[in-house]
Amino acid sequence: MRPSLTERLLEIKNLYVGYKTYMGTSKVLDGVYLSVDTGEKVGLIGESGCGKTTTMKAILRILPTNAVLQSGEISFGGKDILKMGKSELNELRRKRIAMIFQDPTAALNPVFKVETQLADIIKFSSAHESEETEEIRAKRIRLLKEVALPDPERVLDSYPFQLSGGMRQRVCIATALATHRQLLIADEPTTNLDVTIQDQVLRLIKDIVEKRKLSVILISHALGAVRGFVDKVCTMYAGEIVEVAETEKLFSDPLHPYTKGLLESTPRLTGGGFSEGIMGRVPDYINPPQGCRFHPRCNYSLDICKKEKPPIIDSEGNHSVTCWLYYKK
Amino acid sequence: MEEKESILVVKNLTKHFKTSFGIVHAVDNIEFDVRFGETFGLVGESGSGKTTTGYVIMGIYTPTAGRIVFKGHDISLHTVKRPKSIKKDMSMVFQDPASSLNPSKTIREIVGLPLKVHGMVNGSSELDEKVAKLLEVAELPPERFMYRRPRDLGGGEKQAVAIARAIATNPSFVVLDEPTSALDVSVQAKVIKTLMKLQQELNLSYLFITHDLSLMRNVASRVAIMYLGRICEYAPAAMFFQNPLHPYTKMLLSSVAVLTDKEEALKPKGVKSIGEVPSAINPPPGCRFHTRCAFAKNICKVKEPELAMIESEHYVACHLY
Repeated sequence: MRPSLTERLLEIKNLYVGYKTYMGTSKVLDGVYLSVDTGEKVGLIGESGCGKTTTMKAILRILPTNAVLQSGEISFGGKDILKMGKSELNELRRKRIAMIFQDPTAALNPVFKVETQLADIIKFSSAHESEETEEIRAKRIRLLKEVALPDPERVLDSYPFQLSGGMRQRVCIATALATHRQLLIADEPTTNLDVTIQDQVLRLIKDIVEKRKLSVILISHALGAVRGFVDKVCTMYAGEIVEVAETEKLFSDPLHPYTKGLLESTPRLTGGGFSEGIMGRVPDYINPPQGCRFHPRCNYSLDICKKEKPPIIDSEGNHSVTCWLYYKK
Repeated sequence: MEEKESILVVKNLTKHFKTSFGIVHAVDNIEFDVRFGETFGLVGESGSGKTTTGYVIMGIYTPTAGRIVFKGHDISLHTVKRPKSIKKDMSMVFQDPASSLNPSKTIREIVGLPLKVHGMVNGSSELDEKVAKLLEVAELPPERFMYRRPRDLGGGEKQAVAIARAIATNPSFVVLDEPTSALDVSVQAKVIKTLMKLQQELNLSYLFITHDLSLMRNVASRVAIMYLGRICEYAPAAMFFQNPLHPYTKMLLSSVAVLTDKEEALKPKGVKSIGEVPSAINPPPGCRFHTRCAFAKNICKVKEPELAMIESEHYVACHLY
């Protein structure tokens, strides 16, 4: 599946991000690492509030103003995004990385027609900023056709509220595709959609990604959606990457207790009832637990888990897990 | 549909809403029954009318036409016109626990309100005692939760409070409207466990409304699938998942994203999800699904199919059968 000549496109190392609140600094990201090769599809799974979106926003440097980038390195094509100046950052957002957000209603501006919004993005992100209007119009229609929107002329002439949720998400995908980018970040692109529409939109993204040979990071808490899509899955819990493995491996042989718990709690079409779930909830980030952040919810926790952070342990076949249970001296 | 073994029978139920754009056909002529002690699943996508059905049964809306029979009493009325004894016997858990609990009240007040309304307690010490018992049943330690407010609780805990409130009056029938769709999977498992345990202990009958077929497979004994205000398939859960018949239910099942190859094998083959749900203001004539159906024939565009029994207890509304 993977191209033989892999080249690292994105590499995040030891990323620490916090948010200033009136109760103190909430230390959300705690040494996140993540890598994406050219043409690779990576999935990021975890519960709400575990820092998935914060990580993605850090990549594009679009974190809210109360966020503090404490330390770390995000290199994209060999350059550290955290050290980029304003013009370089704009260049990155215009031409290199695109993002699809969870809520297409909030991502589109409600007071402009789709026509205007698409034209702006095409103008802003294209190399030739003074393209002819005719050309832009043709390009817009081509884009809308590419995302399988029926009747593109009508869609162009509509305001976002006149479109259904699925159509809005397709328009968002079209905006992300306006120029040839290298990396697509899809942040829960189907969470707000109906089951049958989810399937359509996921298939669409997959087709486009494969056709254009894009690298993708797909964030989702729906494990099924990730399984059918990506090459590699990273599990995230409370601001830490706890497990990284190839998709098949992770679903058939999960190592980290959290990944196991997540998989067990997901109801199956084949029936068979329910597991107990995972007790407790995502910790408070202002005073996160000492040691492994998962230990208060873990059924297997050892003494050392409460004191020291677990190391990243590589097991065979590109499978790494951050857990003391697999530590051998 | 035997009325004797059913706690709730719904017959030809219709609910239309008048809006400035026209009449919304939210629920159109549906029929089903919920038996004593079972979990009846109502599945559908947004706009299919499943929540409206739940609301009409609870009397939050007055039905436009049709009958709702609860334990032999006709209750096709708005809740204000229903006798108090019936209201005490039915309750509901809503989808979003963040908005269904009053943020300015303590958990004691929230869970205690139905007890007070139905005159089930005398004085505050008895209220304390009963609320504590209810919280315990819902697996919330009373000493920790009694005097807290909804904002101090996590999503799963809030939903547990909503469940404690729903069972406060000792009802025999509970409508669960997507009780876990706002929760994470790890929390969902716990809430469902609690609900199933309560059903056993208190002999409850559930009307479980959801869009999640995998969840439905694990909780319901019988299911009805709704599309644009109509029931298109109605069967015991095991039979339905083994052998779905209606083209829409096949499409729905094939769209579910699953975790294992075993589940993959259960999904109908060769059905691809296409199109979107049309507007309920002008639903398509004939079969409402014909605009998205790969097997549509001419008759589907003109004549609305009736629910017909294909095998025992398995009903389908489709001209193909």
